[in-house]
Amino acid sequence: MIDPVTRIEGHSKITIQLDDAGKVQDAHFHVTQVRGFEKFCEGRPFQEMPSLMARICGICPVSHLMASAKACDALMRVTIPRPAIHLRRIMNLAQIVQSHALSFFYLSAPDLLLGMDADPGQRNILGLAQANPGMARDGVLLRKFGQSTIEILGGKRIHPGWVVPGGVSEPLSSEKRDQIKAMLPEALAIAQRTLVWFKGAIGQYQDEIDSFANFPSLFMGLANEEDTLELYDGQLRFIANDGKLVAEVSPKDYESVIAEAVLPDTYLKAPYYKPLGYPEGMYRVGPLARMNMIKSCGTPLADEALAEFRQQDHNSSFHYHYARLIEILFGLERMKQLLNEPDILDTNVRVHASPNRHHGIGMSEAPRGTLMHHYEIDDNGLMTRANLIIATGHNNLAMNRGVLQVAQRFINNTKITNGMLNRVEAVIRTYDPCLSCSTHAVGQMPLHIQVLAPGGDVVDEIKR
Amino acid sequence: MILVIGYGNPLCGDDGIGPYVVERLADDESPADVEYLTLRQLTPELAEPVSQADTVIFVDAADGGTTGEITCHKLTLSAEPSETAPGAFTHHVNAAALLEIARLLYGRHPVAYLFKVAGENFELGDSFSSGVESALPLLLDQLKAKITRSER
Repeated sequence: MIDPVTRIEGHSKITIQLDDAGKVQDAHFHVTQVRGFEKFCEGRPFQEMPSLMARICGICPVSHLMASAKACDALMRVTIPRPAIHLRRIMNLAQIVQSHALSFFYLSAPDLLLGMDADPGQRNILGLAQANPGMARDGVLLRKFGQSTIEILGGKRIHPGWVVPGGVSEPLSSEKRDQIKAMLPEALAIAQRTLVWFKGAIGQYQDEIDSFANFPSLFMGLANEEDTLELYDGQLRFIANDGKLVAEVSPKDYESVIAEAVLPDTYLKAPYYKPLGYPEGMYRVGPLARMNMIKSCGTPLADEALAEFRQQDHNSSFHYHYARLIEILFGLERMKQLLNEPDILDTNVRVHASPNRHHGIGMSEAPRGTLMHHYEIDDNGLMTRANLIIATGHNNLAMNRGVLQVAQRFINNTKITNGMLNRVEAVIRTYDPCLSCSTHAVGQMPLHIQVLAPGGDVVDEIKR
Repeated sequence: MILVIGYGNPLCGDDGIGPYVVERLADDESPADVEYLTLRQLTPELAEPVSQADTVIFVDAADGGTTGEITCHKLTLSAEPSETAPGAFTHHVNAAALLEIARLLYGRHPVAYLFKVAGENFELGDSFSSGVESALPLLLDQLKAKITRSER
């Protein structure tokens, strides 16, 4: 057996630098995998891009399908049929529900239920299953709901080929619609009771709320005209920490507001808001950013939850968890709305065209934040360049600053405990990073934390 | 019911032996009470179908040992669950942890066997090393025999 076995999430390392007095001076989050997908695809026909790009990740292939298909729509210069937009939205929501369920139940709930100082051997899905089997079963069911919906729509759970340039390859049948609708009530009940549990539990984590990447920053995401929660389309919007609009551009103009810094100690690039420069242009994306950007979610239960969320400290990345649960609720409600659209079974779900321009940019909101695919092709429709900016990359600067803040709050040279180091991990976990996506490589994510003395000697380390 | 699960990455050389051999089995004529699954990795949500099976046969690649060597052992529930604990940053679990989760969440777990095939090349590529390739007929025979003799 290959141990560790997983081939999905990526390799990473955190270094914490102590000063002469033993206080944390600096901390960095490094991704130690080389990127590759942007190069692999050069020379391929652009129509292959959605299925090629979906291979970047086994967790969020659907998100890459969406952004990629939208970039191809732009190359073909087509407007896809309304029923196809509904169907793409439903699959995107199913993806967000299953990915958020994975993040919350499998990765973060053990910390929240068992405590940050619990035995690391227990602080995982197995420990969760022992301590609260009902909650673990809920996590399994919610994941299954999302994956089953993706499978019903796309024919398979991972890397479905149903989302294509110009729309989707097959319309929705009434049987499939009813199958998905029948699963919604149970999923909704799980989402509601999990939110109730979480609201009751967060009072114990005030220290973490105060120190888990709790600082002012810009927030970025896709925005629609109604200012409701937008996960598929819209303008690219930056807001300031106080909610004021900083910039809003069409996705095709993203390079006017975003630049990427290449850092010496990590393969993960660091995008920043161009007018403010690097690193002052740090911004956050994903569930927390999306909650902070909108006026309302646009569905009744999620809006009730959002009103309560507004009472929380919106600067703390700890509340990514809270925002994730609200998005699960929203996703389920919105899927129901979309499945009830009068034209949802319409068979006009795809348009065909040859490429009509050499550049195409597609964006959607992935579970972890805004996903950008930018393609360039030659006269024959062959790829000449791809630039992918992934949610985990957008959050890179904020993750690094969060690691430093937590390390300074919880680590000193007296005695480094697992609980201290777990909090350093946990702040990264709030962002739910997907390193295989962000470096476009296939690998695993066993975390390696090193604490370095002023001379560079390793004074403590932990590997998971 | 017997559930046969082959897991590994078909694009990482010998790592793909599990899914490959289970696909071959599924293509052959097979008893009606045998189900096949091919996966990149094991995840906690598999606990539900695992709990519903009488016997589960896992097939995976192994890193180490003589290339092509096949081993099979019966999985038991660990006395100390942390021995099978998954990492805090990953969503995958190993076969023994999956049995634990099935027991904890659904109150039952099946008899389970883990077949391992020692590989030598796990780099990017969709072909097997010669040692793994030559072990395929024996692996298929052993799996068919185990299926025939297993509880259902």
